[in-house]
Amino acid sequence: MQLSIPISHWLTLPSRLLVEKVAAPSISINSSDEVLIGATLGGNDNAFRILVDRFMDEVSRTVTGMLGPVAEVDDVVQEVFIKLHRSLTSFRGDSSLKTFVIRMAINKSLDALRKRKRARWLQPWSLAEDQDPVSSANSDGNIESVERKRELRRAIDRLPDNQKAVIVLRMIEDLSTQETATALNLPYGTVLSRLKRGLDRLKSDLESSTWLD
Amino acid sequence: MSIAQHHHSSEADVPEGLSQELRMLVHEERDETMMSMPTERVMRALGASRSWKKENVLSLELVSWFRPVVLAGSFVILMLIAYNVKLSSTNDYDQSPTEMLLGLPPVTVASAYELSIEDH
Repeated sequence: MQLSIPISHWLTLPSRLLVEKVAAPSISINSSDEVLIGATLGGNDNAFRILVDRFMDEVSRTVTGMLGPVAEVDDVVQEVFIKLHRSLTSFRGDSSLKTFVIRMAINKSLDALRKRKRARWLQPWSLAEDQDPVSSANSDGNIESVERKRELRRAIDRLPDNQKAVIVLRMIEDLSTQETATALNLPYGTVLSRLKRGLDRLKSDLESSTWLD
Repeated sequence: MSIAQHHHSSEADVPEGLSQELRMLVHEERDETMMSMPTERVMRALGASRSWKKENVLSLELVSWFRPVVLAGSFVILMLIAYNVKLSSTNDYDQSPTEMLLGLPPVTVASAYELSIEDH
């Protein structure tokens, strides 16, 4: 029996592995998304940790904007990043990684909102009506400011989910209309019309022109 | 204001005052609800989901192997039920389709309890 791989190949394996390890690009917080994705796919957890740190603000803001100040925000944020880790192999770079992550955050938030609606159907009427996350949160501001925040949160929560997603990305995340369209996989015109309808609804709900420019 | 900024703000007439209010609200809400060290918790959750996958790799593999068996079995059962129903509708005898297929003599309640004293 003849070995197809020469023995010298096996003898030099440790040194070659060492060279390959040294030659691999070093990872730092300044590394580009592409480098970090490559390293994560190669099994480098530190690279993924840097990605999580990089997008934590965007994801947590998006999820909080969609769901409000509720305990499930933490869980949804975790789910987004776990899904990101699993989906990195399918990331083709058609859009930026930020857009890719924000799309996941919106989709997971919409799932959570659907679950919440189903759960509300199963709850007694009185319990469902009593839930007011803003009132239960700690607020050290004055009564007027607390009331203003409460009204704003109620106005956001009253928006239909598709308009809410556009409002959150466009007005809170400060994405451009084109970026919002890419993140939501919608035509540009649809984003504009949902934004207009959402804004009209927010304005009428708030019933106060002093809020608006 | 730069051209890019102007284009951005006039793109869909987003009221800047309301945007600021929304951003401040969400910042405060997030600080109130999110627990500390979120990155560490994400990494721990990732580790937990990986170990769950490793522990359940055999059961997941078995499930994937049995999926075609379940599908084929369900198909065979459905075909048998359909054949049985068809045979029952055309069967004028006292025998059931199963008895006919297996070549068994017809068994009725009366024949089952019919004692033949002469054999003893």
